[in-house]
Amino acid sequence: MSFGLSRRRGVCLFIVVVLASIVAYWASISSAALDHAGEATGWILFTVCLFLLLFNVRKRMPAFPVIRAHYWLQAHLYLGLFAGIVFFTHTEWRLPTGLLDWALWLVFVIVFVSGVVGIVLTRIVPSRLNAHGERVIFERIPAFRAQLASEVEALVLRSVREAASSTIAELYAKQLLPFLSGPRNFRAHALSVTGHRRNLQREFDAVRRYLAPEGNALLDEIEERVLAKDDLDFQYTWQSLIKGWLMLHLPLSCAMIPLLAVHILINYAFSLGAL
Amino acid sequence: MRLQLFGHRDSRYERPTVNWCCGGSDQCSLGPDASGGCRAGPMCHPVRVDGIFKCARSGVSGGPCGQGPGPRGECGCVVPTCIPQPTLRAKRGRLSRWAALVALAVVLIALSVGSREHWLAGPLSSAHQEIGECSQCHVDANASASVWLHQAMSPTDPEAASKSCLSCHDRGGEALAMAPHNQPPAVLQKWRDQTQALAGDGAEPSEFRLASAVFGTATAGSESGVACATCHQEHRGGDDFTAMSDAGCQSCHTVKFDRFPDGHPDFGNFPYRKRQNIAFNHASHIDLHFAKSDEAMRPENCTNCHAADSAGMGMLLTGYEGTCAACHDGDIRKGPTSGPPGGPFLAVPGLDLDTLAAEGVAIGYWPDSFYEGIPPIMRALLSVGYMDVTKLALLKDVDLLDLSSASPDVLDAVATLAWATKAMMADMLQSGVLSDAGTMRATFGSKLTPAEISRLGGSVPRDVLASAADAWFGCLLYSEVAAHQDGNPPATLTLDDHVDGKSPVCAGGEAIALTADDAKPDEETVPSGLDALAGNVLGGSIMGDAAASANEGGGDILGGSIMGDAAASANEGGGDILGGSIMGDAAASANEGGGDILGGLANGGDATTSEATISDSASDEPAIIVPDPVDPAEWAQHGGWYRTAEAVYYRPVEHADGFMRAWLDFAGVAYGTTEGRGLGEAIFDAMGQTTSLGRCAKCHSGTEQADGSVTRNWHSTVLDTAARTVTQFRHAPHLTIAGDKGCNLCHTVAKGEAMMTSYKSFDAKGFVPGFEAMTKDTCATCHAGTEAGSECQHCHNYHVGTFSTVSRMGRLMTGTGREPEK
Repeated sequence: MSFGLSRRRGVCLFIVVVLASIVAYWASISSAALDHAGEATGWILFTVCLFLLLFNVRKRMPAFPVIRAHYWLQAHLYLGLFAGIVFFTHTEWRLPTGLLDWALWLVFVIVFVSGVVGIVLTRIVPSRLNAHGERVIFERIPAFRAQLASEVEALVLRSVREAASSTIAELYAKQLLPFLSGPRNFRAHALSVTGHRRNLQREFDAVRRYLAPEGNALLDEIEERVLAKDDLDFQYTWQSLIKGWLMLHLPLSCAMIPLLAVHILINYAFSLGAL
Repeated sequence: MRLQLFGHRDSRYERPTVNWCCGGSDQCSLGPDASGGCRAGPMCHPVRVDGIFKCARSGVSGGPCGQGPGPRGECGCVVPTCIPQPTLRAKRGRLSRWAALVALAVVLIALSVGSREHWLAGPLSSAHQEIGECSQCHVDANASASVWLHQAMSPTDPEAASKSCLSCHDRGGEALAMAPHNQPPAVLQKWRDQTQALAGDGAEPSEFRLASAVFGTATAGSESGVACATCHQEHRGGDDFTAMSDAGCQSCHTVKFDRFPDGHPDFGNFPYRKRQNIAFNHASHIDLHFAKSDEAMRPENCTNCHAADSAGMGMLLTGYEGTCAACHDGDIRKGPTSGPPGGPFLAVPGLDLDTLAAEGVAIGYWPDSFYEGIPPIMRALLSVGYMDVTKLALLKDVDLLDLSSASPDVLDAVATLAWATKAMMADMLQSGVLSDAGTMRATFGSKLTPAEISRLGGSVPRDVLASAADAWFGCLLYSEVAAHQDGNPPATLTLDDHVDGKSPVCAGGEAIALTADDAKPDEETVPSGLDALAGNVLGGSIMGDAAASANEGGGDILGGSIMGDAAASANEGGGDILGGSIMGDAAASANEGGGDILGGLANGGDATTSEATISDSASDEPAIIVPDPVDPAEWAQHGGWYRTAEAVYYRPVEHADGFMRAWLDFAGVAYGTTEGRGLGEAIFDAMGQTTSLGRCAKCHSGTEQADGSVTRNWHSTVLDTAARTVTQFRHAPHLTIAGDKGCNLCHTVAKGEAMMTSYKSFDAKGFVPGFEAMTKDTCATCHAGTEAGSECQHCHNYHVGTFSTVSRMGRLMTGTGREPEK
């Protein structure tokens, strides 16, 4: 991270914290004027949420590039943080009571937390992806996985034909075929555990002693592809995570809209004068 | 090894916005169409060049295949079909739409079902748990969502909304329900002035200055008042429905501060802002009286006399019996420092009969034994329909025994007094004391209850009244009253002047009127007239005049069972001397001019006659022993009713004597009326002084109310648990931490008698406390942080006043659950 980027982020974070603190303090002193800040903080929150949702709209309209998406994203991130603080100010830092309020509270909190998780992931995952094997496009991973599986299968057949040995074939049938048939070790990759990779390498080392030089050459090629498949699994795991949090963040953001509408309706219809 | 190649020849372009991707394992280069259909099939359309079909597969797909097209131009590389799969983005989009739709559906369903109140809002506070229906507070709760929308768009009326709360909660009536602290502006202004006077010079905390600048001044003081929902946030469950922040409490206050120790106004004269009901000088009792008293009677500490109430709030007196009675019980039965030991209830006011007769003012028969003036209680009784209050007032400063210079109006008032006295006594004997409660209420505007009226009557025995009437007016009472009511009042007449002080006589059980004709004004003729009367009477059964019968020798003197004249019997040596159980005017005859022998026993008559033993003069008859004369007042030493020749008296029986309390209470009410003020003052003079009958006023102070009436403080100052005061203090939790100083830690007794001077008046405001002023530093020793609590609500209430309990009473139901038939 460059110094300029770091400073820019620091300034933006500072501004967000200051603005949120002003809102929180303003809400806290409202009671000193026998006023309720709930109405005002609620509308601030609603407006910010609408703006945050607009980011998704903006992404769907590449033909109308109203401000660069990069800036939208940055605004989304910082306003999201701001909305989180305003939200807890709005709820007076206490748990809700009614089912509707609970639902709204949970949805917002999940959206907020998933958003924070998303920020963290977008900050740490790219460097990890770059540092671990070849960085590939997520959508192409299945094709690459199929390609590797096909190549390994071809090498195994070749080993049987040329080396007249079933050792590699047995290794393939017992260990490699299940490994190559789909994404594996998701949890281990998510936790950055590499035990499974060492186990695979030990399997190869154990077989190697029984093979002739030609067979070892083929085994090296197979091992290279198996390890490439493991790297693909790593890519798949972390790219799934970096794309998966949106599966929570975005749908719940949409679910929040009707809940917000009813929340506002009920509060204005039955507030008995106190919002 | 490198898997991914870039370049238009090496890699197809991945479009991030496509919704479908190939479902096959080899990810064909064609990919699905926009609607998710598989486009698999030949990888190219071979082109015919010079009659030969050539492969046209694109470079991205690997370029021309080695296999080449078939002889008919069909592609030799056919991609197997697949079921295209949605992309992650498409899945996310679908999920988002479904999530929104599900949320909307859930909301709509929930809005349309009947029990929507159970999820739309949070649980009610514990105090409101019994409210079952939303509509009990929210009028439109059961309406459609469109009505809700309309309601939401309509401007909110906090005042109208608060009426829902006030339909159950009493907060001082409609006028004060939403007023700050439920108090009128004048009270608020008074509080404001007091607080500002006690406040220090500390600057207003910045929080409040900023809040004022941002939000403006709090609206609590405006005409709209403070809506309930301003402070009470419902639907949060729990018990903190009344919780309020310190900032919120101070928002309307002119004196604002951060913390209790650092800015709270001084206590001023708190808690001694009200004169104590019981006039008790702690200093003199501790320094003087207790020091002299017996050790057994001397309290050791404050809790010997004071104990926390059941709520632990106030320190109550443990009661008269346990505290004061040992030393002060004797005071109660004491009479006033001068005069008879009892209080006069009824009396025969002494009148200047000569002047009345001379002026032709007819009042009928009037006895010679008299009471000087009109007893205040009797004035009150007379004013209940018997005599106009203004006429009574006219006689206030008149010497009734010397009417020689009285004006005609005064003479008329005196005549009215005489006839009112007779009429009242006749009514009392016929109907009871204060039988006309309605007139009494109408006269004094008092809401007297039957029990109070009963106490005013003191349950005086009828026999006491009867004997008094008999002694004072004899049988003439009813006849004279009847004659007066018929417009034929008999002239002023006294037997004392004309027939040796004998009582009026009756015959045959019927009253004989002493009419003006009978009572001849000529002094010389009157005796003969009365003699004639006596002669007529002697045969009667009620009363025989001994002297007359003895002298005249006529009739059966003692034939009557009621009255026997002892003297006559004694002289004649026959008859049952004391056959009459009520009255024997014996002494006059027995001793020839003596007094009433048994007056003190039977009718309270003049018992000053010397002891007489009738048997002395009739040695052959059994000895008749007449006991020593009894002093009626002494006879009633333990309290109760007694009668003398001129009045009926009452002596208090015990502490909290009902008769005394009733009349002092009545006097307080009368004191507040224009007509009755003088009467009230008279009763207070007679019964409400520190040295007067019963000594009630020695301890029980009187407090003048706003309407002018005076409330006698019968109870020690007690904390009205039903009343919510601005400041509340729980004594109970503090009793264990007071240390060696005990109660003196906060309550330091003030020396001197200054505090007692204020009890000389009914004004409870201008008083000197019996304790030194308290300081907040004592409290701040503990109440400085969160440990002991220093929030506003720790000591203060917002709602101030006495409010009735929540009124959500059901209607009467029969056992079957139906309303009773009307």
